[in-house]
Amino acid sequence: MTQPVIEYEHITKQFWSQGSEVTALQNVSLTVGENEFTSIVGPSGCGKTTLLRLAAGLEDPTAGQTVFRGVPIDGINTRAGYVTQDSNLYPWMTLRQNVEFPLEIQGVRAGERRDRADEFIRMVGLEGFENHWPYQLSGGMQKRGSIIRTMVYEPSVVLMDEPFGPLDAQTRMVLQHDLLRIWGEKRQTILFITHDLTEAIAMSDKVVVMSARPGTIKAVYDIPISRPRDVFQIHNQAGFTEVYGEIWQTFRSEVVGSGADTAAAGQGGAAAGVA
Amino acid sequence: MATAPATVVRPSRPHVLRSQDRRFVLVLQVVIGIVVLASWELAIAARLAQPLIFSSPLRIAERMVSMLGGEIVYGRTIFDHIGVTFQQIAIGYALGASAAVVLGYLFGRVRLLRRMFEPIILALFSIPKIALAPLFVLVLGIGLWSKVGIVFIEVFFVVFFNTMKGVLEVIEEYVHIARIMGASRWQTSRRVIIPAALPSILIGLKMGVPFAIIGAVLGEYIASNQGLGWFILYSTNSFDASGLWAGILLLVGITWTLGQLVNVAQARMLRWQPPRRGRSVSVA
Repeated sequence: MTQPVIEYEHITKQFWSQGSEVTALQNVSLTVGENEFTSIVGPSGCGKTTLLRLAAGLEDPTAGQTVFRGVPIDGINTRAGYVTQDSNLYPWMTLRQNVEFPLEIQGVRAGERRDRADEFIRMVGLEGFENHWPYQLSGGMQKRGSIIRTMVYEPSVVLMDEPFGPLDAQTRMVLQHDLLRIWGEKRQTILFITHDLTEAIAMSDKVVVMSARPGTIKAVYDIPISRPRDVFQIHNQAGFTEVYGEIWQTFRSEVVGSGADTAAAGQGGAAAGVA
Repeated sequence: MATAPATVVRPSRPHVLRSQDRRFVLVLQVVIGIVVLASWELAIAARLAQPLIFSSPLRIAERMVSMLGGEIVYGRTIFDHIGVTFQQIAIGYALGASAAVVLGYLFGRVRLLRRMFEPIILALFSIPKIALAPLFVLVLGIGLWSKVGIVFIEVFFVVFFNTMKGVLEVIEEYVHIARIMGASRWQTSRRVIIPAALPSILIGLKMGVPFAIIGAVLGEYIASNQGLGWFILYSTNSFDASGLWAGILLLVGITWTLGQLVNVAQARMLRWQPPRRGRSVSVA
């Protein structure tokens, strides 16, 4: 285990929703290591987004504490980058202005801002669209814009909340590939939320499986698949089938138990069966 | 093997008027306008109605020409009257809109403020301004400032509520994203909240224009001896129907011009919005 960057210590989080108390997280302890790509998977409502928000300082725990590089989080955590589920590019700024925004916040000179922003824009294949308004970009393009907007100021930790959720399957694979390429160069610590087990395994060094609500950590798996990974053909890479089968056994009871459709269960069984 | 000849299907464009259609509509509008004006003129000429009460398009046009030529009307040229009214509108609008945007922003951001004062503001808003207007005259006199006060109050509420709504509706995640990137409160306000709220604010500002004009005219009806509103009232009382209509037309012209100014500002500032399908709807 590398240096701990985020430490969740006995986190319990309760919300009050429509008059009743909802326990999103129950006594969750987890350590996220430096330079590692960690995914959290779990059924809907298991509290994985809440864990991310705790690390970002957008929520406070009901009990326990979140420690970031040895310092307990108190208020908004500006030391981590945060990529939301929706792209949330600012509609009143062009793509370039959006990507330059964090650099502008931090007082970077205009010339340097533009160079750094353009580098990332090129990296994800969006050159030519610098002066477009967000509404003129497709969903996948906006998504890329949203990701490089966080990457451009090079936070050492990046929190990502189901960033590829709303996209179609092909676009998703392309963006997974882009993200891994960026990560390959910079090796930040990434904490990545997804409901898609295949995606989690394809991208990560570690996969954390959560239970249905109230959320707890069921298991943490090391992913022994070698890098670089081919997300387009991840099923064929050595080690994938075994680790998928293993994790799915843990995962399925949570998914099926929480009322997910039987197709998901069938899919899992079939994948485990394919050699 | 022979295939049946394909029929050419013209793709239908239900939401976009073909340019022929647009020209047709315009021609129709012009024709209807001419017919209405002509009927009016003829009705008066045939003495079907009193010229003193109704006037007629030609008389009005004649009157308008002479007024714009500098004719003295009730002691001043029409331009003096317009100037007086315009001054009231401009000062009242500037003050009212500024106060409303600032307060609307604060109320949108600070929940405590909202909880404490919004009920009061809503209560004040529900008082008909017509009832409040004489109060302004009492307090501020019969000169410029009572009219400015009435315009202020007419503009304030509509801009305030639209601004507050715009600020309240800013997507919270926009703010979170900026704060997590390290933006200060000031940076967040300036670069995120205000631009995000701007469309609503501009709607409020546009709606404020006709309210401002109503306020100025109302003030002049109640207590004034000059101004376009006063001119309209005096014309009415003098059975000067032509003057009355000319005054109304000028008022409509001013309203339209000011509205267009806001439209231009709006278009400039909101280039980033996706275009609406078909013609855009502008609030009067």
